[in-house]
Amino acid sequence: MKFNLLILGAGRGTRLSPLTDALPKPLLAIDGSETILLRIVKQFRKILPIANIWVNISTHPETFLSYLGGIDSEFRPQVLFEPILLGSANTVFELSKEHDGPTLVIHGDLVLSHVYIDTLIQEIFRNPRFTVFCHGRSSNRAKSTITISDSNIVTSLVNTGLNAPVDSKVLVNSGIYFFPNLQQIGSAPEIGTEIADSTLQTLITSGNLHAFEINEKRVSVDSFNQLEEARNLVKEEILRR
Amino acid sequence: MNLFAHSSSSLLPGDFRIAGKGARNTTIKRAVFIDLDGTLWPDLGPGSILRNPIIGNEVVLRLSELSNVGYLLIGITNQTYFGYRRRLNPISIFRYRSKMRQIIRKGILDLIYVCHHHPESKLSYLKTECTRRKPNSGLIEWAKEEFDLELDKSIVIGDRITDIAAGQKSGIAKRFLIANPRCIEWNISRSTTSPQSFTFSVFGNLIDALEMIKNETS
Repeated sequence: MKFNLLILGAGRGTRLSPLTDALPKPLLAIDGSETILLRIVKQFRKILPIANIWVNISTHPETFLSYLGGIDSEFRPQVLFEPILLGSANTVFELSKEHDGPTLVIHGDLVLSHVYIDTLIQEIFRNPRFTVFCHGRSSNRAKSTITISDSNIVTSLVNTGLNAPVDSKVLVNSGIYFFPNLQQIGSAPEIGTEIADSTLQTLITSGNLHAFEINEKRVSVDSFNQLEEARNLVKEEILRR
Repeated sequence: MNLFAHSSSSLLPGDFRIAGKGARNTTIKRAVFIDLDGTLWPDLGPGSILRNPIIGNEVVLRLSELSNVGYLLIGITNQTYFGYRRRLNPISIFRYRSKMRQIIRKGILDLIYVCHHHPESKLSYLKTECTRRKPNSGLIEWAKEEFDLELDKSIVIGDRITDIAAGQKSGIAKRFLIANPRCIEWNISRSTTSPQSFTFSVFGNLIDALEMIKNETS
């Protein structure tokens, strides 16, 4: 079985301005000249039989395309260009118009440890269902929370702002999704909506969405501190090898 | 109706096509559609071909390899130099047609389809929202009808998102963009029938794109 990989790279990355004033966030360097995007591609290419890799782009498209034109073809994703930012739910829907097959969707600002990826891949092979990967977090820092049943079926994905109850650990969407196929996504979601808001909601209703918690090291590069944290993670991994 | 459409002998520009010997092989059902200005040769501004741009030897070699493995090589181009950018100049038109015929005669391409229309042309008979003008898919569909091409087995290569759009609208499965600083330039709001997204592969240059096609074919 071969997998597709969709890297979500169309966001504006405004919280990392001025670094992202002229550069899409996935093209931030985290190890010498290696970008977040290239790290994701290399990590998954190494461990997973891949049929297609796509990255969706919208912000600074010319910069993105020039970069892609210059990298080794083995690691060069195909492009899904959105003249108007569609939102991740609609991006997946757009892709489903021409493609199908098991597809892993991952936010293009994620720096994952190798152990994280190993765990994720094992779970996909063990249990190839619609899956939202998530992590535990203290509830007072959770922007959105995931509720699951005893059998790990997601019963709700709730955007809480930062007002989640402070009583216990909650599960948080990690920005990685596995779709065994793309054709069951359903009708077009509203433009601008996130995956968690719409596409997955359909799957939750039908009781098909599975949650899997991974608490290995991962950094979502959303601030200067997190960028530094990501670079340290990469350094640690290089030293360990 | 445009009386000059399909005309390859008239010196008045309309949509036209030139065919070479390769087009006589009617058993070939797949094609590589290649944009001309900025893709087959460097973009030297409107009417590039009149400034004698060089088509690299390696590009010519790669194209002949694709011809040998059973692709029809088809140039598709919007050409607004006449009518929109400049006043009608019969000498320039004659030179333009001659250059196109040279490309065909040398066997670099089998066919070339040209659309001269532009919605803001200074010449009334060229002033139209032509369905053949890229990002519309008319030039590709014209070739498809003439040669019964299988577009799902064909490829389009261009240096602008408008080339990709034309390929996507016509159902060409493989769409290759040659990355350059102007590749996204297009007043997207003017094309009311635009899809919400465009999917394609990116290459740093035409040679890499042609090599990829050959590798995937062999």
